[in-house]
Amino acid sequence: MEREGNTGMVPVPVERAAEFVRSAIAPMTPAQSESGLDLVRARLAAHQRQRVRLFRLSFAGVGVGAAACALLWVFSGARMAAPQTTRLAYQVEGGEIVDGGYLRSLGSAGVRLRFAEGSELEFLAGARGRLRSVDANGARFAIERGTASVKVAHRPGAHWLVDAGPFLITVKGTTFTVAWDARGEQLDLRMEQGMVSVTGPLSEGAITVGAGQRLAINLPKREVVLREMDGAAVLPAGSAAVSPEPEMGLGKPGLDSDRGDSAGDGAGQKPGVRSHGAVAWPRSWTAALVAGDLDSILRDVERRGLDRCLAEASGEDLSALADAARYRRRDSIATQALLTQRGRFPGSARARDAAFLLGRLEEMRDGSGRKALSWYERYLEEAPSGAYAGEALGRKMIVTQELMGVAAAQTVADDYLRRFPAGTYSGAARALRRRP
Amino acid sequence: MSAGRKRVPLYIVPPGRSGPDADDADLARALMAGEPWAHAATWNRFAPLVFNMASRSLGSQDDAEDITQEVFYRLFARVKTLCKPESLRSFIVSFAIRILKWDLRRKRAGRWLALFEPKELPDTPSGEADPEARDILRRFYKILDALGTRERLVFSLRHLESMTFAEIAAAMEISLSTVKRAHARAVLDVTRWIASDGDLARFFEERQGPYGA
Repeated sequence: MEREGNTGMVPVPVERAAEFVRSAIAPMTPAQSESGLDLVRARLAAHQRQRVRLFRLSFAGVGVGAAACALLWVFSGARMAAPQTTRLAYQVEGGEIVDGGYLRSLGSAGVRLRFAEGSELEFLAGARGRLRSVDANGARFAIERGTASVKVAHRPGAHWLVDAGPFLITVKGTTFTVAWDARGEQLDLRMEQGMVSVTGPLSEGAITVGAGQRLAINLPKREVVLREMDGAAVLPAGSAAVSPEPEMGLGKPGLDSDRGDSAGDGAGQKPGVRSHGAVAWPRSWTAALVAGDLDSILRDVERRGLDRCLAEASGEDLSALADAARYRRRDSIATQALLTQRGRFPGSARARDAAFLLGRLEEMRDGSGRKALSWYERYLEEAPSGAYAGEALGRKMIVTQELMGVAAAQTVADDYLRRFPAGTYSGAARALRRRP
Repeated sequence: MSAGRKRVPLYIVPPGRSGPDADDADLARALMAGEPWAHAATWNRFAPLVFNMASRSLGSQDDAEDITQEVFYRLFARVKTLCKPESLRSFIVSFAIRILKWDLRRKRAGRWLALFEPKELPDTPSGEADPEARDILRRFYKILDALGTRERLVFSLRHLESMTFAEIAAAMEISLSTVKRAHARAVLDVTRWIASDGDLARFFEERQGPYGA
């Protein structure tokens, strides 16, 4: 049963099993090798893009920080020069302030607070709230129920805060109305002028709401909708939803691709309107690609629908989708992503690269050599010094030989060796030139 | 150069030693210098080695592709940490083994936590058209799945990759005696489990020719 091995007595079945496995497992195929190298390159490129973006962001951050420090220095200098003023004076109309800052209406109309520097707060009929604090730069008040109209006079250093249920609205100088439905846990903020930022549940970081926009948040439904406000187009809060399910890639705040027709959404959505997701924004497809998590990209596409993804994804995400699909041999998805890249972002570097990658996909299909050749030629025409120029010329040489014979391919081989004497295809090109 | 200034290493690639002609040390220097041909040349030279190692260790071609891609992605991203260019091959093997170990541990933890069912392995044996042989392969990898991560790796490297104990110890960064102990445990378990599976034991006892001892 046992025999002498290099390491002592190794049972015969173990040796036979090992030998069987060594014989039975197939080695790496050329297709696996090519697609693997392609994907490693794609991941490296995506990683490099991320690093560049991070560098730019940090550079911009340093600039912004420096500017903020300068402003702070100037402002603090001004404040030191001038004595600190006392807190803002205000008067109450139509009601009174009782213990705890509670604003009590004395009639059927609402309560109005007028501040000395021109700001006004009005609790409309039926609304309840409190004035929490007042200082020299502004005030903080809370809406417990109902609608409040806020007009904050713009001035340097103004700092106004509005609590609406669990949300905090930070105001500089602006006019807006805000309603908090305590029972339904819904926030409705309508901006007339200026800009505010809103923080609270369902928003990772602050949501910025600008003039003419309306923010509707429905906590029970986990819906956050930010849209332009123009009469009939405005839908009640909750009528348009952003899917609460985590999604990757698409729909990052502030992106143009992040438009409207989210799950459950539909009529009344205007182009150019941005929506904020109801949950923390997860990583992009590019990040998933860098992490090698290809399947999650494809799962995300299946969940959201390919057509929608193709229509909404950014160029970078389309590129990541194409790479993931190519590597997972979902050629149809890869082809559509690449064609969409060229259609939606013509003239971009990614659109040019897409021509080469389309050629690779066509080449892998039986009988599509001519199409592949056409894509390679198009790539070489559009990006003669592009990242894939060597590969494209090399593949062109191989496909030309298959389609048109050695003589035609030798011309391409000459061109290849002239441009890429140490390239990956240089051995093949030299061998081709030696053939009669 | 001032004392506080960071030194930037300069890698010089000897002329005429590029592409497929470059030896391992030249290739490593070219990688570190960012030569455009170096990625493809390194991949073409070492990817089959890593793929075969992963494929035989895991019994899955899909997983082997993922591992190979991960190894080279990390290699290309961190090649500047390579201290000895002439050790490129062992650097890559160590990288591959580390990632294999991580993958095996992840899968083992996943099985314990029942997060996923293991795939029916191997997914594409391809070399074997015989359904019985495919089934034997699948059963054999189920046995390997039951081994501990270290034991499985040592067993795979020793018996499927024909590495010596000293090479395994160096690649896994553990002592020679630890390798030998892990190997002894693995062989004992595999032998016992093969014996307990009648079909498997019969197959390996009877099968001669290409697989026979």
